[in-house]
Amino acid sequence: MDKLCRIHMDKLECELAPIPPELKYLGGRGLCSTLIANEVRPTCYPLGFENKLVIAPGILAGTVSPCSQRVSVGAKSPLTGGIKEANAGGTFGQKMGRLGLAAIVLEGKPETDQLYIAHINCDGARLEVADDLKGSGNYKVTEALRAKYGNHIGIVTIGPAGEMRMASASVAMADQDGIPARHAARGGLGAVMGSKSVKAIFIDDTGVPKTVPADNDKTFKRIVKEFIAVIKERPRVKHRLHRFGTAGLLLAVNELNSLPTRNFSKGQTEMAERIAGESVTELINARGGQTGHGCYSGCIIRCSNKFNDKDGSHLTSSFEYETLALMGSNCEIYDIDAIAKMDRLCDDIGIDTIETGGAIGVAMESGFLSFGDHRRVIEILHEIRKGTPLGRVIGNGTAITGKVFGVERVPTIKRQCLPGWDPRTAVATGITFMTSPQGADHTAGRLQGIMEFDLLDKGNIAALSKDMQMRSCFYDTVGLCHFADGTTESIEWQAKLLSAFSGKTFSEDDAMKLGETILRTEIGFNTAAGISDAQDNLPEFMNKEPLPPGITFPVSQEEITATFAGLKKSGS
Amino acid sequence: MQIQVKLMDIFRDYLPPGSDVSKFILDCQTNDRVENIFIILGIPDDLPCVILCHGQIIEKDRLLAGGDVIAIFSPIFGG
Repeated sequence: MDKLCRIHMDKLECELAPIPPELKYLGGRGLCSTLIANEVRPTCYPLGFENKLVIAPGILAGTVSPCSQRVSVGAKSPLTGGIKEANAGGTFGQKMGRLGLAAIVLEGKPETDQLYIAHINCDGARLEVADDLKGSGNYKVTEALRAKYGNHIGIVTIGPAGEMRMASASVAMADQDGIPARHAARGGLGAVMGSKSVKAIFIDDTGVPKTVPADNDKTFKRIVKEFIAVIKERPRVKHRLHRFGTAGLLLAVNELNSLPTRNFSKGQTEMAERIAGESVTELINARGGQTGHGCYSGCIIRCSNKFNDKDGSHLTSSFEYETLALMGSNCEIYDIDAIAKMDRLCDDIGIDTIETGGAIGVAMESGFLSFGDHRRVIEILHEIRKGTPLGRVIGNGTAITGKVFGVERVPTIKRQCLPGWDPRTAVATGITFMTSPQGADHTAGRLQGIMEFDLLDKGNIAALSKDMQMRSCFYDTVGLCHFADGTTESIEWQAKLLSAFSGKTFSEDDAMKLGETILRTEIGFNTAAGISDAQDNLPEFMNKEPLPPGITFPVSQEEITATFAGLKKSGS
Repeated sequence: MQIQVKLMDIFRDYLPPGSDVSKFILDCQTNDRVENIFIILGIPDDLPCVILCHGQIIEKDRLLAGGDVIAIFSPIFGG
């Protein structure tokens, strides 16, 4: 990939330029964070003229490398106030790779109040006025673009929440069926896209080769073949993800006492079976839905699904663990159909289900609505779509909702809601939530497996978190799905692939150094933005309240600070 | 002695007929170990798994005790 597409919204012009040589072998999160750090003033207003939204596929986008088509979206976050990267599947990254596009950068703001879509193909890029799509949900926008330009296009959109610049707004990416179910959901990046008055970007890759060749293509293809065989044999792929999706985790996380329940006041519930992945899978099969669905062509993990309603009509896709945890047990809602409807609404409105589930849990804690009241939750989601005052409060996330409703128990770190892993039991993941420049984010370095739940003889658990965070930076730069080559496994496959792809030797050490460099870049941006390690804390109530039956967070702040001191110091 | 067994994800393929959706009571002998559960249910020995007893991670060679609540599931991954 050798081109940057800069879309100057102040001048309403699109410019294709060669990528600077020093950025050539960056992609995904690494490219997003480097461009933001280089070009955006850290103290700028996130929804103002100076912020930029970067969309970048991984280094291996468009190649035949398996599970390497994820797309990163980056900006200064209106939710955390720091640097933010969120990534998703879908078909957009593959098509960017085919067109040789390393990144799309949205900059400036138009002077008019019109809404635009950007159209990119092999001839270049152009903007079109799209006022007819104002206020439309992601489903309608995606359907309209596919009807007009063909089902083969790759699409990125925002829903009404992004247009209204809500801090929980996501950037939606259509999957291979044209369903806008894959979201770069965290950190309010959809609000940044909305602040640029861009409703959608679509790519037509007609006329370009379907695969991007490697420098050493023969070797690359041989390694790809071997790597595919390894992934297919991984037990988690064979036994868990393909059959039950991420929702299949829920009962296990419940047993491990880490499932957020009743606004993070408990880590398990007797009701878990009612929203378990096994129960979801049973409904999917009974209603003619689909498990083992890939979010893009060529995915060999296929952890996604298509969930139908009671009448057998499609209701939502990619019905995931995090949604079931935050909008389910966290809100004490144990009705799969109700949660699936919420998921559909969140996908259509364009909001993060984690942030929204957290915000609603906090509103429930205040007594504004009752735990378990799924009908009222659905009404509130419609209020977010309409932009009523209540909808805007909840749509601006968990921390804002906590302030407005005067709640003390607010489960956020750096103003971002904790995902579905209680840090008092998922300890290494908890340290990642505390220390990541991304705020509380499970994709920033979750220790896969069960090691973190059994702390005996595990040494410095904070060091494990640090290692995972660097690995995650690297994987998100390659564009790799973490389920293919997990954070605790060797990076050797990626090192081999990158060596063959670039024609230059790339070692596992190089991979870790690249991950560390990206992490330092992000920490440096945050430090300049006024975010220090003083904010690397658990939510205050979690330090005061043991998780039943009496579990407290077992690692001292001093140990965490000491482990991350090198990274934080050089980042300042 | 009796123990309670909870099976999740792929391990539900080995639930005894007529058992509750996820859990059942199993009669065991004194000196039985966790691995006996696998033999009784016909669970292949090489199927990767996590085993908990009352929420604590245990190994297959642990001795069972009356009243144990044993949970068996695939290694967790994802989120």
